[in-house]
Amino acid sequence: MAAIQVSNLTKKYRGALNPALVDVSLSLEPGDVCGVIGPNGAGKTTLIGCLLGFLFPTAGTITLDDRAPDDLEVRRRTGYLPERLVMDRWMSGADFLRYHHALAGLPDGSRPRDVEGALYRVGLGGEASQRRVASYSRGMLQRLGLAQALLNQPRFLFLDEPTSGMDPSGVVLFRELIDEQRQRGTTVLLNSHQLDQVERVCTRIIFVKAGRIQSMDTTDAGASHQRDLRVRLHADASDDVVARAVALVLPESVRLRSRNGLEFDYAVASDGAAAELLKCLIAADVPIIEAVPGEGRLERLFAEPGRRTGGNA
Amino acid sequence: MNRTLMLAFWRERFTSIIRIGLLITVCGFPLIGRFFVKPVTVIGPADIIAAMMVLGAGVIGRDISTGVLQLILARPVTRREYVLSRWLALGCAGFAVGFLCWLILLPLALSSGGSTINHALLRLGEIGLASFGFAAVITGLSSLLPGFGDLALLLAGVMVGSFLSFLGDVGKSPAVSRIGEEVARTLVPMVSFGDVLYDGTFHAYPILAWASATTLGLLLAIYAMNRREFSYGSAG
Repeated sequence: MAAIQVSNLTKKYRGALNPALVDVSLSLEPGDVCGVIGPNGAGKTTLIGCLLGFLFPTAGTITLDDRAPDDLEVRRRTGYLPERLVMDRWMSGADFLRYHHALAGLPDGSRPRDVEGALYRVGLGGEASQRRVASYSRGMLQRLGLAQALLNQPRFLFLDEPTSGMDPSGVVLFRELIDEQRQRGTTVLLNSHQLDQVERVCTRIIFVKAGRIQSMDTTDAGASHQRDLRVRLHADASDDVVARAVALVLPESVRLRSRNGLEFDYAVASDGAAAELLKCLIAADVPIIEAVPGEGRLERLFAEPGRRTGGNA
Repeated sequence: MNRTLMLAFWRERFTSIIRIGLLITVCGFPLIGRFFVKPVTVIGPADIIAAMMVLGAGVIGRDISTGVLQLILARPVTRREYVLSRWLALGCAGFAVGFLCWLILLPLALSSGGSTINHALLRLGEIGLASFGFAAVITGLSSLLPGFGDLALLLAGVMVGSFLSFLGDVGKSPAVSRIGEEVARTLVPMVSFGDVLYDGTFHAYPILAWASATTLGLLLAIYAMNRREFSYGSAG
């Protein structure tokens, strides 16, 4: 049984000329971490709104564990972090979590322990937890929001731009938390414009454009993904020397994608392969002027209008 | 009813310095006024309406416009439960403030002969009914517009009611006057036990009018909330 099943979902807002979502179908299993990417206005927010029961579909069906999105049993097992976390300014971080712990219907007896544990887990323990949220930075609010979303050990987790405003340590923490959720079988839907984060944590990626799913791919979360490396050489560089140097690197790791004069565009299997390629070129005394990473696989989705792979979903 | 939502509402409303300042002002005027009118009487239901407006402004609309409501509704809380909890919390808060003002004046009213204990208790009952009735109206109006749009709707409604009453009086049309009165009665539902027990007989109409206005406000709020879509893109 799919954890989240969306069938032929269409959503048209009242008064809008075009539908926000058109005939979207999607099936996610327990443990899937699904990244939703796409340009602004593509329908990503509408999709999450429908899955959370905030928006009513014009056509089609949505089920979470075979139940409607607004079923209280589903809500008991749902975690949600909106893009802009708003809360009452009188609350401290601990107050906010206590409030949501109670709203989630979790036992009163475990509240102090659960709240304290959640705050420490996201790095907001001690003095920070007693401060009013009005004094929190954007990154702290995002951490608090994550703690809130994970309080009830959700089975469905909906995150909208979760790392927005977070410092690097917060981003690392976010990846750890998502990995933990994936291992315990939570189905995660992640809406983000930070494509590198999506690529790192997601097992599936949906590219949405103009209300339609343009592509749906299964990926290997945390694995190194193929990327481009553009190398520009000095005019003295000899083609033979370059070819010999590149041949030293494993052929499955590096492939010449294109060449434009002294600019070589390589497809490299991973960051390690890129480093190895540069090491070999330097060792062969190839005069490198610059080496810059090219756009990634997900960036290319934005640049290729009309791409439709159908994917493995 | 959801105890957590009610407690959060009270904490939010009674920790806002601006709101407390306004509350002291709107409650202070009728209290001070009564000190100078001899004999002193306890306050009545009309005296707490301004306080209810201060406490209730944006009771639902504010949650809609700030986006707080989406986080609440992502929890196992039904929309009906949310509406009824907000109404009950506002009604209790209004009654508590009214009770406090009533209590302050009670010793003076009893000692000066302005009120008997029976009269004072009837007044307290009227305050209770006005609190929960007006809370239902504010809750209903607040479910229609975000922010503090409920106050604008209330003001517009009261003005329409007054205008109709005026037109009826000028045009010698009792029907139009009556419509104006009913609009006002629906927007500010109050019960006078003097009318209920007029001439020593029981008259049900004031109670029924209050009950219908209260029910209408709550049904409107539940209906509007059940139909409302929430998009953090459009803030509701």
